Amino acid sequence: MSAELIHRTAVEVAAAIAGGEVSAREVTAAHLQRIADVEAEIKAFLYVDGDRALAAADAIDARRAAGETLGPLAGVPLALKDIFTLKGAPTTCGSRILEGWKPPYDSTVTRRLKQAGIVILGKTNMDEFAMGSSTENSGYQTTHNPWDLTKIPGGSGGGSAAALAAFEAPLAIGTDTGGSIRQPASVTGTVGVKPTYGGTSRYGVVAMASSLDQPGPCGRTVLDTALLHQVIAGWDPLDSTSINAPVPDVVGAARSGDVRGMRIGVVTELGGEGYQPGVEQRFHEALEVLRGAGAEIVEVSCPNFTYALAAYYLIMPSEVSSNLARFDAMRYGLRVGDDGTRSAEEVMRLTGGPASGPR
Amino acid sequence: MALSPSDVARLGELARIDLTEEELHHLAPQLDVILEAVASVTLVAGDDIPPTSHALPLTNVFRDDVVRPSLPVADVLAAAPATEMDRFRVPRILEDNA
Repeated sequence: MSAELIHRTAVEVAAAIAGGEVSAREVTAAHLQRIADVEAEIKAFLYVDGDRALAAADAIDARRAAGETLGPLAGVPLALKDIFTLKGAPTTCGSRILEGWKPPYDSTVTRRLKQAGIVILGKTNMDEFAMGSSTENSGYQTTHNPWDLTKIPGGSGGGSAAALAAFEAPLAIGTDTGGSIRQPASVTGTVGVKPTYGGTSRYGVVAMASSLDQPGPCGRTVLDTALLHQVIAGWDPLDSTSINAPVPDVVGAARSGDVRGMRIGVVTELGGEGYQPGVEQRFHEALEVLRGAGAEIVEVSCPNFTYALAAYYLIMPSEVSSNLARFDAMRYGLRVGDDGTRSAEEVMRLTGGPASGPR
Repeated sequence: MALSPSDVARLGELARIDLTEEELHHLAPQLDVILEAVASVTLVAGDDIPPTSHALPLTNVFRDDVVRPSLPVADVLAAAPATEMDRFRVPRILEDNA
């Protein structure tokens, strides 16, 4: 029963709960058991709170018993990247400088997940402050790719992607600044989307490069991922760059799968060297599938894309250096050497050295 | 332009980060890559291109100045490294003889 439950899609799990075939508690318990079975090898989670998750699942079961109509993902378990605040739970962003810090509030994404009845199992591993593409740069542990434990799961959101691929959770949340959702999804055979900037709220997300950071949905199927996007997306007055416009009907698009008449651009400058042969071959096969389904494929030239990586290496470190200045041992987490005689500068130096980087 | 390890040491001082000799030599060429990126972008970002602050057509929005409930002081300070009189207590930042 529990082995079969963890292999279901989020849509199937939610339908089984809504139809009374299984309880939300049974679903959550099955995933907690899976985590207990495989975490020693995968190391996707930094923190699992079984009691909190089971209590959230019980609340869903109680609402259903009371005759309430539940949302489309109610009772489905989820793995949350450790960059989102979750009130009262450790939020480290993969850094030891935030070890032991428990935020006093929920991020907007966290709040919307809870409102949708989604059960948060725990917080997933990541490269420290989302800086990295392999989840080897976490201050706590290295996450392994469930398909081959000797390989990386990508990053920075390798924990969320590995949790999906290892069937530890059917849904996950990541953040993407320069590929931190999309690249882990690619190398774990899962689905992940970086929404249009402003499409999801950054409130309560530890900032890396603020003009690029975006929370986004992760799943094992396109439809599950679209449903999760529908839950977290939309205008938020607490994020000044949030788009005040209706969320596009991505769920309808995922359900129909109809691409007839669509014109899909393939950017010339993004092809060429640097791809493994198999990867480029798969890409062209995907184009053929789209063409066969009725889409029109057109080549588009974006000459300035040649400078995209250079621009990223200019924008990202500039914003990181500003954003990470807040982790100065004054307001959060660790403070080393504050004996009443040392200056703030000395305390910052003493704290920053041992608290950043791998253990 | 090539950064020397002593340049990196100076940057470390400004960032209040202690770096070992080994780290200085490790980081210098990495920071060079960032400077090369700046030079590369400069090639296309000419004077005729207006600076862009944001990818979206957003303007600043003001809300009404209405008092709303805020987080309880005890919750906010619960994870502070040190507190005093309902405030974050921090080490001195000025020398006594200033």
